[in-house]
Amino acid sequence: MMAHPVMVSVAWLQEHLNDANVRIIDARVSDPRLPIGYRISHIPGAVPFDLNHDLYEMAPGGPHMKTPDAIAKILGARGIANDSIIVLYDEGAGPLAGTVYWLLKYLGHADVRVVNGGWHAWTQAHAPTTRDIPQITPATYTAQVDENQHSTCEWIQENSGRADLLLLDTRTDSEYYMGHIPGAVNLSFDEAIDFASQALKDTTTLCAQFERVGATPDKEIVVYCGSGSRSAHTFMVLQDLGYPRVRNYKGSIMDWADHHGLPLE
Amino acid sequence: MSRWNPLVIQAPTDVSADETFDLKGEICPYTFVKSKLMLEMMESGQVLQVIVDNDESATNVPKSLTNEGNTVLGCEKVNETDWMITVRKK
Repeated sequence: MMAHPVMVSVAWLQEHLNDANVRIIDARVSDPRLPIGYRISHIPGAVPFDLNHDLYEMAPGGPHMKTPDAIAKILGARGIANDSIIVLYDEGAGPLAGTVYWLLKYLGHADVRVVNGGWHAWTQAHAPTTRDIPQITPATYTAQVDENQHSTCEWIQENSGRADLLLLDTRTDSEYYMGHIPGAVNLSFDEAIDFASQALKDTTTLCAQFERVGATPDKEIVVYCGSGSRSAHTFMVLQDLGYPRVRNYKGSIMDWADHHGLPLE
Repeated sequence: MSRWNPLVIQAPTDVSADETFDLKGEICPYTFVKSKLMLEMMESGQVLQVIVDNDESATNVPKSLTNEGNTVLGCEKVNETDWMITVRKK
């Protein structure tokens, strides 16, 4: 079981805003055409993390994830150390925070929290915001990759016969029915989000939704989607619920079908 | 061969867009997160046209926006790569 829940409230972060070991990461969209985002206003002390630039690099055939050491260097430059308590937020409890959450767990980071309801909840609560860029003292961050947080197509093929393994496709039902990894069940990642509050649904509802598709805590669950971000959100939700064995197949359908030519059903 | 097969919806010819948002070059989940953020800045009943250049986004953006209560009026392939998604804000 987790030593602490992943999701924290606005009130929790307000109480811990000035804790010496807390580092806040703003994972929201950064697009000059939208009058929102880190450059306009953010939670005091937060540093930005833009998936487009900080996680991916362009390569022939589409964006590729940077190496763990390259990402570690970015985290260190933003004042994040291996023993920091990292608190993430995006617009709501959405897939951008989910993707950074998974990334940090993959890099072996012990203590990662996510603000439930994100920026929406923060501003609804009239919690403090600022345009000020925090003064950063660079830290040393060392990637300690934890392959137990990750799956590859080879790992799925080697383990596909196990009765305690469940493949969970987190795309929309229409994408699922167009073709999914053999044996996978479907629950779209956004079924976990309450659209009005932009926070996660309550624990009882979430557990019932997962159990309805056979995703129970006694199983090892591999989540995937098109390219590993929506599934990272489900990874975050399952870890928050205390599921002990969850892996995100970051390559997902693009890796399975397009790169390896493996069959879909 | 594409693994996605977006549902083609012919947008009504008498609908004009209040905003157009070019999301070519953007990948999931940015395509639907940014579409949603743009809609949040528009008035109820206004029409947004989103342009994406991959089949995955042309499949999941309409579905995600529909799930949030908006009405997808069109999803049309406009050239070899690009799709135009037309949505009315709830």
